[in-house]
Amino acid sequence: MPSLPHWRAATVHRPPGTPLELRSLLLRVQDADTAALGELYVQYGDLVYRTALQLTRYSADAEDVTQEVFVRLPGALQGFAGTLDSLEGWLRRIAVRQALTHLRGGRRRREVSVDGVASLLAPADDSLGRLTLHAALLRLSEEHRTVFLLKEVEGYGHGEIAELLGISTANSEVRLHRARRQLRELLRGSR
Amino acid sequence: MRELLSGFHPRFEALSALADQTDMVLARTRSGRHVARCAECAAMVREIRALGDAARSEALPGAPTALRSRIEGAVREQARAAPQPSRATPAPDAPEWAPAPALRPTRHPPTVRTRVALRVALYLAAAAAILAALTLPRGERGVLRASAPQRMTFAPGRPAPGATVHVRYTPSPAMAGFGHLVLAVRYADSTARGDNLFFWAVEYDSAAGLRRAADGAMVGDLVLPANFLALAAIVSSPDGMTVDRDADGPWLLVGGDHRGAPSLRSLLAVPTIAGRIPPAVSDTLQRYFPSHPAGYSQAKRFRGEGIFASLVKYFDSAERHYARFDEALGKQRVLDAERLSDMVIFAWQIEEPDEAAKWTWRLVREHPEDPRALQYYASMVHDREMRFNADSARPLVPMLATLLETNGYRDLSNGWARTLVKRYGDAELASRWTLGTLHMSGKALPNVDVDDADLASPEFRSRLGAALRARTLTSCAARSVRYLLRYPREWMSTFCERSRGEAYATLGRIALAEGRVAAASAYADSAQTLFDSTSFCGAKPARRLRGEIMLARGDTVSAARELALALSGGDYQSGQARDSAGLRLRPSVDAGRWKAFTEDAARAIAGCYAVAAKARRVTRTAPAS
Repeated sequence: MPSLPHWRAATVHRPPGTPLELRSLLLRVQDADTAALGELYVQYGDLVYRTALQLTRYSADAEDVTQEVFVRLPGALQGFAGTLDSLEGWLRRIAVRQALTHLRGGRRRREVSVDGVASLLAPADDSLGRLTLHAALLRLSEEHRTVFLLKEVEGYGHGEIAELLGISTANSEVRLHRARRQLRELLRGSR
Repeated sequence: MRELLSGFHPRFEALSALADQTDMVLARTRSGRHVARCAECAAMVREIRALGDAARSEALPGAPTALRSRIEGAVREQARAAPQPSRATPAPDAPEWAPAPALRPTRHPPTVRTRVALRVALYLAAAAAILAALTLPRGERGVLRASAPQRMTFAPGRPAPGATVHVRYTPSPAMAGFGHLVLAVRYADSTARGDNLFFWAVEYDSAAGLRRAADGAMVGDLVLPANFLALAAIVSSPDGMTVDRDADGPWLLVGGDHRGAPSLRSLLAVPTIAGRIPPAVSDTLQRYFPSHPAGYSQAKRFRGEGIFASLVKYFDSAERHYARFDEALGKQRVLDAERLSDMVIFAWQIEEPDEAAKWTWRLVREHPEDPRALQYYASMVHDREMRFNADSARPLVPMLATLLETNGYRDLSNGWARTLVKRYGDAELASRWTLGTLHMSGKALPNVDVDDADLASPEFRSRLGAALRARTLTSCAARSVRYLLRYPREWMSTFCERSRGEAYATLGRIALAEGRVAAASAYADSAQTLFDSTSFCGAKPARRLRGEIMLARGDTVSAARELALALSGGDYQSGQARDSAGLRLRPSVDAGRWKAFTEDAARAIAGCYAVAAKARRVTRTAPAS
């Protein structure tokens, strides 16, 4: 079975101090305390940004999503009813949903690296060494890429993906297969 | 039921699904057992899993520091716009953070009486399910798939060739901001049977413009060609950078006759644009053409393992339908390729490899020119290879090259047949195979895939050289007819130029094999020039040739530098090739020095890509919806 992403557990910074301090920080954020929100951003900004970047693939879009998540956080935290241990997962789910909303909204600011995609066109027996996964993912359609990343990186099941994207479970499976097939063809430098 | 060890490799979708399972689960399924015995399929499952591993290990940058002030500014702005009442300060004796009441467990465990009732209900439900499984017909016929209105509609729904079709498209949010859109289509081609097609945006041509109607939908008219059979359609933004299509593929329009009735030719042409027969098409085939096996051969069947599954399969109508077609078609002395092909697939669907082999032999004998003959024949050989032994497969292999030469099969991307040729064929057969792929017309092959062993034959070198020289003369001017979605047209020229560079590099290998070192060096320079002009960092085929030339001249250290660049890459194959090259370079270049060369090479190529990316980055802004 696929392992968890290495940065999911390793690079998220735990808030310093006691759970009480974190709770106090969250309460201040709920009160729209800008400084507290900034502190929370220092602790969890990377987590939200990377989740958004994973799905949107563009830094400008990921910044928009991260901003949107943190700006809405004071209101959203009032609905957070889990334990402090679940805060990380809760933030990740919010980031995923916000990124999907952003993608659906068509308000994307795309920064396209021509070289990244042009490098796809190199001869085949050099393909694996030359082609980055990022470039190959960019070449997938958005819906295929989203399902692939939600399944493989975020670890969602097909039922959850279907619910998130408003599609059927079978459709989610089909999209995943097609995404994998296209990625494989791209990475192998297929005709 | 016979023990199944089908030679038909599981479809990619099946392998992809298997890749998500544990090895223990794999061992319990038919496909899983196939994968356990078939090295090619096992390698593909590993590749699929590696894709996920690569995605998970992708290094992503952290959040930019400047974003913090942007967020704080936005929050202040929001607070100014809508001031909120201050939250009351929590009392000193406020309880610790705890789950909200809604999330606390509120349901009590069921009582004994409830448990008994539940158990009885469960038994009744299971009995009802078994009864339903045994009595209800299976297949796609009874399945209602459409649960929402189509976002694209065609009028008329079954147009005749040459008709004008009115297209109506309801834009997705991503497409809603565009004033006009492009309808891009791919037409079914009755001569393209057997191709393994799936969605690639670049294969679609613009066919009509879509303009906005009063109700917000986009509408347009499409004039169909006189030889129209069926088409796959997608919608593109005018710049080709945003594409929309149906939920799991393009929208399909299947032609009919002049009375609007379904046309068999049109229905049978659908797999050339949709990969396989979709359920709606197989349903139409079953209803209107019940004496043709196509409607049944690819319809979804009951699949399962174990005694219960075997019992259900016994009642499954698929096997009865197969027996009916087998009896009816088996009596006919000559059959068209379509029916034969459908019977092969049908036999595979009901998991009868010997039956599949029987129909495959008929297809090969009666229609060797049909592209599917090679594909199914390769599967049959692989089946024998797995069920029996290599000796039973070996005599069948030469026919593969004959079929390739006969039918000009166009899709060799899966490589199954080539693997069999390489595994069991001699040098002469391997040469025939490689030349056969070279002579496939109208398709630029970026990877000639020539082994060093192939180059031992003078005749092969001569024929290969002639084909490659012809390729180097190919014009790389951008094609004007193709509507390239998502990608600028000039990238196709880049692809072509690199293909020419590859041809020069292989010509250099031929020259080197013939001892013409100076000519090989000239070819290496030509290849390098073409690769440099297309910003191909590393220019690996040219570097590899240079390395071999320097080895031939006895300059081992320079050869090591070139080979290190040529063989850089993080994949398994590159690693193997590097290890092999390192052994060849000893003792002049010891293991430590070779490692240093390879590390330098990896850094150089990564730096080259970084510089190129920085120099050529552009920003595009998509219109807001």
